[in-house]
Amino acid sequence: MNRLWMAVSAMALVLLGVHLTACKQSSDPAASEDIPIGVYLSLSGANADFGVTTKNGIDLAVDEINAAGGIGGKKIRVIAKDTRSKPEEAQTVAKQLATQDKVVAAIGSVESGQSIKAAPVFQEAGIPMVSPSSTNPDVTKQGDRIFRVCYLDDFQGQACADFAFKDMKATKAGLLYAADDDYSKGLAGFFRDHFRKLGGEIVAEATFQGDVSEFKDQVSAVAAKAPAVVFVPVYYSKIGLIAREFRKQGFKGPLLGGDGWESEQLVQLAGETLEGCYFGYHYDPEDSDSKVQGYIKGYREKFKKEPNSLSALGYDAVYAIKQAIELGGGASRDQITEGLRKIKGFKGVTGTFDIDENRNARKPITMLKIGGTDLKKVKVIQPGDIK
Amino acid sequence: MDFTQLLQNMTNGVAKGSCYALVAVGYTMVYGVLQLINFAHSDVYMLGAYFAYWPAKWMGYLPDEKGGRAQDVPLALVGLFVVGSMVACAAVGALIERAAYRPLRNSGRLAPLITAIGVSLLLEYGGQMVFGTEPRLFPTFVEAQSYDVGGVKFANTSIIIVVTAAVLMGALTLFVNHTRQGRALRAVSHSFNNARLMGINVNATITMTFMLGSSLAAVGGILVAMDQPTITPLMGLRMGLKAFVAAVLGGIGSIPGAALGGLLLGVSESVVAYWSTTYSEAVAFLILIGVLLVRPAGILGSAAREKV
Amino acid sequence: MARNFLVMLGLLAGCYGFNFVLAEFIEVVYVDYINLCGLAIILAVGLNVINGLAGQFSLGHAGFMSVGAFAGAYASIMLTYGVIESGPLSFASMGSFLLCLALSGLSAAAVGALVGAPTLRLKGDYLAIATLGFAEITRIVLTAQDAIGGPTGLKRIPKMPLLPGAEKWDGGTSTFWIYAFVCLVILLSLNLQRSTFGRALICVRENELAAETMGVRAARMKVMAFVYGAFFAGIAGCLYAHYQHSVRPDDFTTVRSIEVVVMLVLGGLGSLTGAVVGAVIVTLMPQFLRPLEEFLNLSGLSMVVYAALLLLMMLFRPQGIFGQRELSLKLLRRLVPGAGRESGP
Repeated sequence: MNRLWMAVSAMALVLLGVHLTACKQSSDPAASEDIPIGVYLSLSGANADFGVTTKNGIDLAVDEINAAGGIGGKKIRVIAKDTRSKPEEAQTVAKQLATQDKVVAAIGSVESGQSIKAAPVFQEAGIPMVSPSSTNPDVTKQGDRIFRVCYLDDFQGQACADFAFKDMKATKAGLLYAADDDYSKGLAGFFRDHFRKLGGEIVAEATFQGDVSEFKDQVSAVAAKAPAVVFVPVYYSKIGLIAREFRKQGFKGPLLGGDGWESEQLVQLAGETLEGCYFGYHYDPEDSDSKVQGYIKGYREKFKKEPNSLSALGYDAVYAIKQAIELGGGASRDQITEGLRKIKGFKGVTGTFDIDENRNARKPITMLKIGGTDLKKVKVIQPGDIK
Repeated sequence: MDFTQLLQNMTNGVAKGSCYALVAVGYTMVYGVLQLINFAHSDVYMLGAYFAYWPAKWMGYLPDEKGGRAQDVPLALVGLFVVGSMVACAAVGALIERAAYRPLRNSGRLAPLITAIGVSLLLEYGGQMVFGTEPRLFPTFVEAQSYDVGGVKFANTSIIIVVTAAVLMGALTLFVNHTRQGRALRAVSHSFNNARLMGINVNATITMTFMLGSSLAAVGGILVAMDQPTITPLMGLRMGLKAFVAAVLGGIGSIPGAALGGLLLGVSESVVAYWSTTYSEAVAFLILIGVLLVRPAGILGSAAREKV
Repeated sequence: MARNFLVMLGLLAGCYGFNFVLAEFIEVVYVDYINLCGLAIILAVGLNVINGLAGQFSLGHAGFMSVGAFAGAYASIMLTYGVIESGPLSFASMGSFLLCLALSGLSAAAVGALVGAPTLRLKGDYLAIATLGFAEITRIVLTAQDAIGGPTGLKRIPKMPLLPGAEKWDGGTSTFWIYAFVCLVILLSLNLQRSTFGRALICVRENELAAETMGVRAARMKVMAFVYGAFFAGIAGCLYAHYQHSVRPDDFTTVRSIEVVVMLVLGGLGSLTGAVVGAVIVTLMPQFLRPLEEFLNLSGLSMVVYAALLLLMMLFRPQGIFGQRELSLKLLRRLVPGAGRESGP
């Protein structure tokens, strides 16, 4: 028995030694023959479907670019790391991408918590990071190499409040959100402030802890105050349950949400309970624009599934980096960073946008209405529309 | 103070608490015989929902990807699915006991605790790989209907939960107190050796305990999935925590205690939610600690007096 | 006392050298693993005094860690920048960092005493649930405080201070700071185990009533153990916050508390060496399994394998890797075949 243990520990030590003596080299990443781009996403764990769909969008864009001959003759090489749905793990894999894989740019993550943990690593290493869909305002404040291609929670919350007050003519609104989720709580806060500023009243507010699936008390608290509209900024996995609970308790008013609602499963999970409800989204799936339709067609062919906003934003993030390489004049870390800062009028699936001085994308939000199994565009709100 | 609203919350709490109670019974029974916190129990609860989900899906009782209306499952089939899931979960429970706990029967209390955590992680991560991580719609076993009695609203699913939980807990109490196997179970939880001296097959009795607890967890999983028809491989995490707390609150090892603890936890959460939904769980935990300080072995638990 | 002081000085010099070697020669990824191991060791060795020596089953270690992390990080941000605002990171000054560490340790210790004093009359699993409840309450309350960032928590936490002569180490000085406290907690715990206090704790663990009759003030001993464990959990939290530069209430869920208990039992409850080895294994295993999962392109596989390995290890070695033994020269001699005979009588 002891000898066995000895052998095992000796082997472990040898392995460790081999691992560790992988000496530090500081080769210039720009000199390599391809363009290594790091991707860190939740590919397993509680939020795995966010990461997997985003990764699909990234893969689709990379395949298209490589099939067309790459960028300036260089092919893109994606190194994907799984954060296991844990924010602290995002920092560990960010270090792996920055130093082991020597990536020239990074894409990630969906969850703002992970992006905030990984950002300092990329910032210190001088690597530009593009978050496809972290909407929390704090993400890009972590450093001057941190970018994003989605709109922000403050704009999204304000746009939804604007829509509720002006278009839905609601003066009394309710709020229901996850107290321990930055996305949900952040969005609710911006909605609340803007709705009040417009002259509306928040009549009820209820919160839940992010991992519950039982909302009876929260729904009772909101429904009792009979608001004209309830803003429910949660993910699609919860909205079905919440909508069902509202209808069970006899509340018939419309619900309103953010981009987290969107999923090919949304209507299936909610049944008929979301009929006539609205949510803000990144693009109009029925847009006749060739870029949008080409993307949807390509995605269906490659993955035999419907694309969603997360995959579209992942797709746009890759093309934004491609444009940055072209604008910056090369694929080194500094050149890509410079290029990203110069992006103006970028035409993506999720709309045409500029990267502003705070490294955020300035882009419109599309309000969609749920009817049957279809999503109909009812309004496009531009960043300039919000005052 | 709005009494209708308070009453509404209490009604919600009873429905919630009944689910806690059903799952808590599994913790308490295993604890009663082995003094082991069976961390894997909440994952058996998750499996219960999935075991009912798959056959219903295969037989076409789910709407297709594009939504549309789900076909309701006929009552006879519902019964079949529930029993099938109970049997499957009982088998899983027995297997877990045989593979992960029995080899450690004489190794103190902490080693089985860690294997329990290991089994739990295995079922969670394995479940994510096998079932997929995306949430899934649970088929409609009972068409949802709402009632409104004097301003207090509740759904038929809540009634089903409360009634089923009450019936099952009653049956379990009768079983434990009035059958030979029940007596064996009580004897084993008292002392392995004495039970053995009385000719009781200790291993078989422990296996039976796991099977009983697991099949009740399966019912719990299905009942909750009926009320909240979205299931994920991690749905057991929160429920497990709550049910375990409920079991301890009621006095772990005591079956009526688990029922009482579940109801108390559910109702106190809901009543606190009348004032603040943000702090409702925090306050529920505070109540728990408070109760334990007054009754260190839970409400119905009997503190073992130390002999000097 | 003087001897211990000298030993600690020597160890500090060792940490300085260790940090230098890592920063100069080892890839950042492995330095990261080593630092994460260090943080886990501080947690596990601290908890070992509560769970292993005093025999009090605590499932709330993450709660103490979060108290320390938020107290230390908040103070550090205020002392370095003066305002909670996002922006580029800078180094904490030596003085402010030491102050923050002291603050985080003391605040966690105070909370430890506050939680420990009333709940320690509970036994076994009842205590476990009460401490778990405490950790969950802490998490919920922290998430609701918008002044410290709500669910996203505190960001832009300064880097750990530079050391003299180490301005150019690109790996930073985290290793020095983390391992300084690893050495401190191990040295203190070793001495504690052999002290009257440590013996009293073991006495309480084995039989509280007998301990009382022997004149050991059991309640007081238990609270002391809690304060000790919480203090180092707070320190670990503060180091963790400075290491990651951001800290969220959700970094400290029940899962993390359970993880620390797993480290202890895996290594052998009550054994200091065991706590260290358990911490290293539990930290490294999911990382070292990563290449396997990437090679097979099966995300999530490594956690399944991790769970299975954990299960198997416990089945084959229920008493933990070290049982209650410590790694000592004697044990080494027995393990090395032949060596035992030479040195034997």
